[in-house]
Amino acid sequence: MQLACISISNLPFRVESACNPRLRGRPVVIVTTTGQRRTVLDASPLAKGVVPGMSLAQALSSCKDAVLVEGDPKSYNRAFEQVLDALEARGADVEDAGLGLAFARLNGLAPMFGGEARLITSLLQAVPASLEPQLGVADGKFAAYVAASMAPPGSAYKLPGDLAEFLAPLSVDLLPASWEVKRRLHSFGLHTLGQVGNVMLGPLQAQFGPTGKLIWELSQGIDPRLLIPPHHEEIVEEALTFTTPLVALEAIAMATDNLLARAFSRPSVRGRFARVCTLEGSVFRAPSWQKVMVFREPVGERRKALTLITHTLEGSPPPGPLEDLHLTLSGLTGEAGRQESLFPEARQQDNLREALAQLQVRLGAEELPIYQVREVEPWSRIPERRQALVPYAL
Amino acid sequence: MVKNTGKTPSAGALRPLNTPKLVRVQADAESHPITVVHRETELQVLSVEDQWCIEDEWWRDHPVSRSYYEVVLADGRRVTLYQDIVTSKWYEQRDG
Repeated sequence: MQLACISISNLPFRVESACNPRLRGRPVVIVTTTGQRRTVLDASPLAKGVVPGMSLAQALSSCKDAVLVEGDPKSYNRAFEQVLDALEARGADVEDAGLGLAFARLNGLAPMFGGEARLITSLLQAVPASLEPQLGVADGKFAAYVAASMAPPGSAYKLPGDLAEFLAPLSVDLLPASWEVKRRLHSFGLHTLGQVGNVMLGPLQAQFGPTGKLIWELSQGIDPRLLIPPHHEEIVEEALTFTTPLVALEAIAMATDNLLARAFSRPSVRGRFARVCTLEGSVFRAPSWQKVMVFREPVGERRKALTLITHTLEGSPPPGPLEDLHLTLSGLTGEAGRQESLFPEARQQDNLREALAQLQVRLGAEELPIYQVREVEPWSRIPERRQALVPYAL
Repeated sequence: MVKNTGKTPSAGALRPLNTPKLVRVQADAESHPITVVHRETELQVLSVEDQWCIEDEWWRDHPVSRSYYEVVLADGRRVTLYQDIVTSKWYEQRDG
């Protein structure tokens, strides 16, 4: 399976410097806050000794003249999602492998673009030049990743045919394994992929478990991992940009009403109900704001949605003036929010099923801890064998 | 009894119902319950309303061999107890 790996190193820094060119050529540290702790999200190449995950205090002691920037993860994710959408628009199956890293399946695409070179050029053009992507082409994810790491910024590199021979002299630090595994490989004197490939599979598995099998295979140029394209949920998005940032809640409510009117008037949404509404906005001189609202019952009407959203915003308004507003409706139901039935018992089951679906969305759980009593061995002489709690199936 | 796998039950696992609960019982020479520690209170057994035995799964390492007693306690409650013949431990369990 021929794959392309698209790697954008230091994506947060590149997004920030694209918005604020004064950051270019300076040591920049992008900071994120989790609870009371402030840690490094990303750093520019000039911020020597600063690595992601480091505490802010450590970062400042390593690089005293660093420029601190408050991180805006939502904008970085949005920028990367645009890259993924652009790659998918070119017909490729794309896997999101983390912020700044994606894989695209190339099989069958080259004839559509008039050859492999044009295909690779088109994929590179899917990424804004300011992000300086590196693109690698090879058979398998690991080899494509290695190829991308060797490509100059803004260009592509394709690995030659014999993967095992090419990978042999490369460092084990390139392997998709934890820092601890790599440390142990070095401590065993296994510094290169060739050295790992020369070890028998059994001892590696004994030391590292399933990871041992994977790194042995990767060192041989064998990559069993499949490309996993994302599951696309049907959503409806509408957006507005304001000439003057909005502060008053009444104005934000009017803008939301406008977005809801547009969303519910779409032919694909007519007659359908939404379970979740997400409002996002860029805040003037502050990180982006997002509010996710899960409705108690699916909502299929603009006025009812507006009432619920306004009530929520009164309780937790945006933290500052909004420069724009994005509305997303998701969890779209079928033609009707409730399936009514002539038979009361069937209606009761339908209502129960609907309530459980709503709960699943609200909790964000794949499996709900809801059970029903079922007879398992009602004839058993042992009382605890007669019935059991069975997970309720939606 | 089927051996406990030791796994933490997940939302998708079958969960047993009416599992017996270990309970402290003082019994007489004929193994009839005299007092029961029920909800941290020691209660006298006023009467034994019913008594039966079950012997099952003799082919397993730990066969099911129990003597059940349906008793009335001093506070008027009716509970079902059983003594595991193999381990001699007492349990409370609803019958049915």
